[in-house]
Amino acid sequence: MKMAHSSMVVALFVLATTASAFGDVAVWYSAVGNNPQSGVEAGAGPLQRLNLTCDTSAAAACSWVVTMNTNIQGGLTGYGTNLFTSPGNGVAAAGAANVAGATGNPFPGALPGVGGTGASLLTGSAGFTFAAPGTGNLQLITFTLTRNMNAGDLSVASISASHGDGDWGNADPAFSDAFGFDRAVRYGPSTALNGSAFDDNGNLRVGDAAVIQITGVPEPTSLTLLGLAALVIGRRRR
Amino acid sequence: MRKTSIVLAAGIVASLSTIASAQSNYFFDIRNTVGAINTPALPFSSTPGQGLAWTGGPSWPNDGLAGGGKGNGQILRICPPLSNGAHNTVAGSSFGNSWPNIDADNDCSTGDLFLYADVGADDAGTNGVISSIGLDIAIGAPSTRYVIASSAWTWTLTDATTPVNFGFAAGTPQGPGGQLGVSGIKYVKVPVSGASTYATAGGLIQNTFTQLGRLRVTAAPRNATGAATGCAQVTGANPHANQSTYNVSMNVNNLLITRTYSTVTTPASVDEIVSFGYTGGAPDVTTNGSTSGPAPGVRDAVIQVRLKVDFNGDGRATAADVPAMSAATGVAGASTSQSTRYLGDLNGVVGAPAAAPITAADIPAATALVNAMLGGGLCP
Repeated sequence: MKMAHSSMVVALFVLATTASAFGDVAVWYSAVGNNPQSGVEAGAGPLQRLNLTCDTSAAAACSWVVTMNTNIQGGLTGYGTNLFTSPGNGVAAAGAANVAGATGNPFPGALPGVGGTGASLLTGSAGFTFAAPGTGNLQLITFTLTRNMNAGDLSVASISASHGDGDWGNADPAFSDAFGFDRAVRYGPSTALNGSAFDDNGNLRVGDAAVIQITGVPEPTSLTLLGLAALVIGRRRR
Repeated sequence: MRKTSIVLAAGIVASLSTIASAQSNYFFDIRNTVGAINTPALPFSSTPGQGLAWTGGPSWPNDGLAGGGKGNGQILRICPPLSNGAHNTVAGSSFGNSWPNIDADNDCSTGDLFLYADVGADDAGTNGVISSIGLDIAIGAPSTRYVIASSAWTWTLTDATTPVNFGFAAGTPQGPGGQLGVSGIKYVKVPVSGASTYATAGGLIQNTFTQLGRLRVTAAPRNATGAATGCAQVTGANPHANQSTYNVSMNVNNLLITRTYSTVTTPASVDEIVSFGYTGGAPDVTTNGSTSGPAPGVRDAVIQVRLKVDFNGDGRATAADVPAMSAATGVAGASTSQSTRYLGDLNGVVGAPAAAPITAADIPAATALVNAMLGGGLCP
């Protein structure tokens, strides 16, 4: 486990170095739990996946306020993103809102998107600007993410991102970028996507790795009991 | 009735005169008057001759600064309507007011290619006059991207002179609704007066440069060919705009193009030698007006169906077009090409000819257009 963790850190470092070289736009998600059973694992940032935990012993659904973040060195004239997940997995999004007041946010009139479930978990988050393009880290939108789970359900729900209606426009075509008029975009740990919303066949471009993952976990009491049981077994063996 | 008139008039032409060799050029231009071509104004420069010769590929529609003489207005740009009607409501005014808007119909999805005849004197005879024009106009096969919904021909040549031994036909559409052009365009007018006395005023055109008519084309809505093709976003070496560009070509039809004389001095030269369009500042290669069929040379005009603001030509107006729109804003008229003016002028307010045609006043409409695309999914 420790070995795997080290490998992941190295891999992330390599990805971060590559992203910097190509000036890719990084998109990542951060979250705050709305109740005790809604956990957030530390460490989510550029080129990373946000890992959430849901204590399935609780009566209420797990719930988080999730923020969509970008790092747009080189400037950005617009964006568009949808989120999707597997249907029927108990995950829903609602209450999307622009972070219009965020420092440096150049998209005050953006569309926050519409929440839902399954393939339409969050659709239509998009904005653009003719004003001076933004740079640096931005918070674009927030929304409430929920997951309903049955007691003892330890299943994993993955959420992925695709482009939405809007292009991830390049503020400066002379800026070193793989796709000219459009920025190269990385959703979480995904490889870079052309920032033009649709491909030649009219399909939205899709990130190739999950950006958010929600994992069901046993309640703390069960964990304690399991720990005690292990302790007892260990003592008996001695 | 019309057909009868044409046949009758053609018969009179044949019986009255001898057809001799000559030279006349027939070309399209988006400018609607002879004066506009003879005294070009921006975005046409005062340089005569077509600025860019077409040798293949997409270079012509994405022109630089063209000259202003004959043959410099051979590129017509029209916009595909948005399926949600946003093109007519952006910023409170329609895109129809924007350049070129020469047809003044307040709708950028329609546009005209005006046909001109530039007829030179011919020493093969005296009192020579063009007496019949028979043309077919072909538009390249439809693409799966933005398409032309229809085209129609209208003669603008007047028949005020008498006697009126003339007949004309507006032709019939080639393909559904004329999206492939119009064939069978015919006009004949006999240079006679009274009891069959030869009179040049009775003919069609005598040694002059004049407008003959117009080909009006209308773009289909951008979702006409479906989401996966028409509304798709195509980048790369052959982007959406190139795939929404159509060649226009003319050829002589079975009415033929002929010149008649009161007296023939060189009987051996019986045919009108014609050329269609300009290339590289000179009339295209010639063909025989007495022979119907495909004409040699390059295309005679180009029609491009392209969204306003779509500077990168990918088929959508998006944030990716912002830098080019911004770069074009405030640039003087003399440095703004036809294509840039088409893409960036959304309000039609250009001020003096030398003034910047694209200004901050165009940004609200551009913003509204991009917003309309943002909220409309793939196919607004």
